[in-house]
Amino acid sequence: MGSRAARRARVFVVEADRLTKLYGSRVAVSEVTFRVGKGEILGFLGPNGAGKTTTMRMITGFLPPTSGTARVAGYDIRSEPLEAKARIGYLCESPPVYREMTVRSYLRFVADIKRVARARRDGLVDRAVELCGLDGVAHRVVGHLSKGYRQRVGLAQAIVHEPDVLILDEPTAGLDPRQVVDIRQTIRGFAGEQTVILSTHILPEVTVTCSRAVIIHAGRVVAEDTIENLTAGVGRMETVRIRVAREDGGLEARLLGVSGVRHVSRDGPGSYAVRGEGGDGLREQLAAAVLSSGAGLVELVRERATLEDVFLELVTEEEAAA
Amino acid sequence: MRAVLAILRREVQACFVSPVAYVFMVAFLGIMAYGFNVGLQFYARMPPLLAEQSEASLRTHVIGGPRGIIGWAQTAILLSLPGLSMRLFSEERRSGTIELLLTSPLTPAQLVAGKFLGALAVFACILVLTLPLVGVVAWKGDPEWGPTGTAYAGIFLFGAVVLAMGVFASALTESQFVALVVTYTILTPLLAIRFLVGMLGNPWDDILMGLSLRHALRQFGVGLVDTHYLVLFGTLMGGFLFLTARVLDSRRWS
Repeated sequence: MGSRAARRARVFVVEADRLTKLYGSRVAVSEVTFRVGKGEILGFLGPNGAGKTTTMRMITGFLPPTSGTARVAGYDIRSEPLEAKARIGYLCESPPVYREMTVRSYLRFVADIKRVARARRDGLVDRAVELCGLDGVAHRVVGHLSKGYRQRVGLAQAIVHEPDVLILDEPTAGLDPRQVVDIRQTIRGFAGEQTVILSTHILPEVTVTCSRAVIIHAGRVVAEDTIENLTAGVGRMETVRIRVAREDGGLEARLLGVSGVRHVSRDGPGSYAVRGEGGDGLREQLAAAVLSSGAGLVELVRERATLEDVFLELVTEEEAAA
Repeated sequence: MRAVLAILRREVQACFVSPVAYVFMVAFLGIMAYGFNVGLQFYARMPPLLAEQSEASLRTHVIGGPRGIIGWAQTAILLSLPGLSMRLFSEERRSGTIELLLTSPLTPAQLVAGKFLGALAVFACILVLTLPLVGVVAWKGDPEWGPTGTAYAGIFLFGAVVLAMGVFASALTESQFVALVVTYTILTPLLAIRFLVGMLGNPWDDILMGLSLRHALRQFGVGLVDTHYLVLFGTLMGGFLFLTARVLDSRRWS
């Protein structure tokens, strides 16, 4: 049994087991269960207020769950909190920095309270400084840095003790587009060796950085799969973009007449977005409809389903069921 | 242990870069210096005959006597230490760094110990800066070192109790001001208790006297180290630090 437990711990770095949090009678998070394997970057996706932060806080031991638990590298956060916490690197929504300290002294402080052996401390601080691109500012006071750099300092404190898992809560919130790209690149740089849970409400962030996603809505997990499978799952409904050479007033009505079409919108001169289901057959009929109208088909493209579609579909299904 | 030291060190550093902390330190030292001067003049004007009747040497009285700096130290502690301690946890909660501390492999006891010892270290630094006053007494006269030592021990213990209350208050709220008010709310009854002595008769008088922090400090000043008062100080300090750890452990953060 012991070796089996050890093997499980090696395979899954984080296991959230029916995590539930109630605030009074309000359910913030309900029975959230998922697992993260070693080296995986998991996207934890959901709209604001879905329970992402609450879930992250329960895994990191900041908030006690009402029921359920989480295990980090095999250590239960409720019964062995110190062992579990020592293996987590956590960047909360706003970077937990002391503004009056210099970057380097702050990272040394974090290394000390995260139980890094003294002999390894300075080396690990240097490594974190380098990985997060802080070389130029290591001797500056944190409070004087730009928001983007402060976020990097937050990231550096999360990785300084070489944690088994890195938990990042909305790491790009409030940054300008350039800083967002920088931070995402840094996170992607961890891929392969570092296990990461990335919580976000920004869909492209997940597509760009993660291999797998858990989608949470109103405190419940509504989907969990690889990005490819998630986007393939919405194959039933698709958006087809049609461009024609000549416009005549009747085209929109003709397109709507094709069986399987649910919605047609005209987004510009000669350009239509058709939403419907039916796969290849639908597109064949759409092409025939345009050709027979004499409008002159210039382009017909199926748009690949994005996570946005997945998300909207899952969330609306969920709301319809409720 | 290293984690406790790291928190202690950071606390002391944060204190010495904060202008607010300097204000309270300067206030403390100002009150002490003023009080020393007032006490010195009082005892210098005392008729020689009266001085002879006094049991302890008058020069020692300047430190620990009824008009000595020990009384002024009590005022200085009450005015400045709650101001130093109000920041300890409330600032961490306001800025969100509490999330770093509570997700680090630290027990609540280690966290509270680091914070409390940090504040105590700053207080010790301030007390060291008052030693020149004792130096003046030693230079111009011949103080009794026993009572002088117990007077300082009393001041230090009294300050530690006030700091423990302040640490507790600061863990309750993210507002420094609320923490300050709570500290005084806890302190006031323990100081005011002395004014009730003599109104209720025995055994109440003895009990109230035994709980009076002001009276305890006076005893230390005249060289009396009563184990009873050591227990009182120790209990208050330990009790409030224990409560602080409980508050942190209950983690009702939103």
